Amino acid sequence: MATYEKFNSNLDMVYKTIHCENDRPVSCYMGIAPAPIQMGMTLAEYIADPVKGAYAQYDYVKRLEEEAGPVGCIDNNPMGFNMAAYLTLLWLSKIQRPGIELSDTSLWQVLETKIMEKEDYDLLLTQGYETWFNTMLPKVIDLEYFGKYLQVFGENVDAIREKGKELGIVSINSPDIQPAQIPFELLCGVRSMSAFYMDCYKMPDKLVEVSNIIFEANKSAAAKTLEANKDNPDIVSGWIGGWRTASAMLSPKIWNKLVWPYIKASGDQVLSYGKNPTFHLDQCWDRDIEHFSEFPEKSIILNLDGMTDMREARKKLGDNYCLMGDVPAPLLATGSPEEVRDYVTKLIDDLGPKGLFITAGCDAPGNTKHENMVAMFKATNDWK
Amino acid sequence: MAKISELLANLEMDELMEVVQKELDAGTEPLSILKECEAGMVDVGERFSNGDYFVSDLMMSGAMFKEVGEMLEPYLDGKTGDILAKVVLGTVEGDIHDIGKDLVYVMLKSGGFDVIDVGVDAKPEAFVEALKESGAPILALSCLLTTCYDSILNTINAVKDAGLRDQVKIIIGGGPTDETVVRYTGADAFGNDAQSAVSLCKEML
Repeated sequence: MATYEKFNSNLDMVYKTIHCENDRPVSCYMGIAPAPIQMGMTLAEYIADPVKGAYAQYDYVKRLEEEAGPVGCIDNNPMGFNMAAYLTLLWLSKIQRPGIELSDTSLWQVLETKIMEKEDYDLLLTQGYETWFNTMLPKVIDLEYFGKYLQVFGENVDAIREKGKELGIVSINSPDIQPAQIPFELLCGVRSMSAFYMDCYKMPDKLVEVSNIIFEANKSAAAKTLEANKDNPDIVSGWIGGWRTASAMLSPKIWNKLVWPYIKASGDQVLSYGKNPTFHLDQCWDRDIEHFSEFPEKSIILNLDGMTDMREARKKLGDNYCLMGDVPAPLLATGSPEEVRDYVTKLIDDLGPKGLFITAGCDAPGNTKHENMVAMFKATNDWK
Repeated sequence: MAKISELLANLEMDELMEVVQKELDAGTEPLSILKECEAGMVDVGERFSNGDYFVSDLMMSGAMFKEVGEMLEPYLDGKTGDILAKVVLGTVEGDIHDIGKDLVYVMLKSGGFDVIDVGVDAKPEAFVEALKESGAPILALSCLLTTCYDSILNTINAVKDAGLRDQVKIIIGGGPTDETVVRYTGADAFGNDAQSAVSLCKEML
């Protein structure tokens, strides 16, 4: 019978880091595309066979451990869910897939098109979230394709989770918890960014009404996943993403009305079940980063991508908020191992090791040089 | 008339359209209205550079500028304002993102540039052809994917192979571009945002 010794030790380290009680910086693997590529798969194969892709992520983490020393954890359980289907759910956008709409080696990409018309706000207001969502979903993904991969996920997720545990790999975020996402992101995806941003100026109050309906529906769904996992310590965190909601993107008036209240409420809900929200914040959040101090200390993870100033975040939030980041994608793709090493070492020197996960900014790009990935982990392990 | 630039800079869409229509009805020269709008956009750009405006504000002002432009078009009779220079713009091969590119398009247009947009997922030859046809001295490449750095590189190499590199300044932009990408691709400069594309193009002249 497995003892999970390594897993439990890593899990303890992850919790200590979130609670800012760790002595050393902890490295975290975050890179959906590079793992299958490094393990010999094309992205077309990865999309077509997400289960094989999930195991490729574990294999790559093991390879990195052999070459760079311990890898403390990975940010998201590889879970074996088709990325195109997953991103469709996240943004209600059409996703262009490698090997189907794109070349075999191309990264999946959002096709920016207006799926939802203005009148569809009224559909949501009058007929509710479910009707609205079920009207939109077939417009962005083939339901047969979606259903097929949902089934593959359901059949394999337990085995993938168990394999990770056997290998001692802790996934900070798990598909077992699905926090309520920020309605803005969903609406922006389905309406298209340019149309939705205009709506924000022209009908902000209506958007609050719409957002509230979406959010309440998502909160109810989230509550079920949180309740089911509240007593399982292996399930650490719920992942809440912010991309088009970044401070650099929106005027404070819009952000304060349509973004922050939902981030706060979603984080509070996760915390109320004893779990730790991970806020995956792409783009620059400098202007509003202090808002996150409204959450209790030692309870959240701020996952930053290199565009938010981590040093400023540390200054503004103090030493008791866990930061995760932020080796920039361009550096990983085009820099040298020495440059990566210098970046990581300086980052740890400046921020201090407590409450710090070192990882790629956003998600390591598919063309990350393997030697740079090794350098990132080695620099973290070598830090003195 | 000064009100037009203020209304645009303050992002007051409905009132702007009303005032523009009134001015047109009163027989005001449409080119002077366009110039007022351009002045408003300069103000927007400054507010953005100062950190008072954000991307959504740029997009809103861009939409307003475009809408006024459409309103003025039948009155302009093909006349344009002063053109600073031509710029060829597009998103590089393998990358289908258009939001940033479209924003740069509007900001450059309102900043006095004539922009030739070759679209998204544009092959190096498309950029070269547009440069040859237009004689544009500036090439602006948009890229949102780190995996498309090589497409920037290939495009710049194609410009070199066509013998145009000495006559064309090349700027790049998009989320994952920075100084390391400038070095990697041999571009001349990168811009952090749509407004900096305007400043860079002006510097390049």
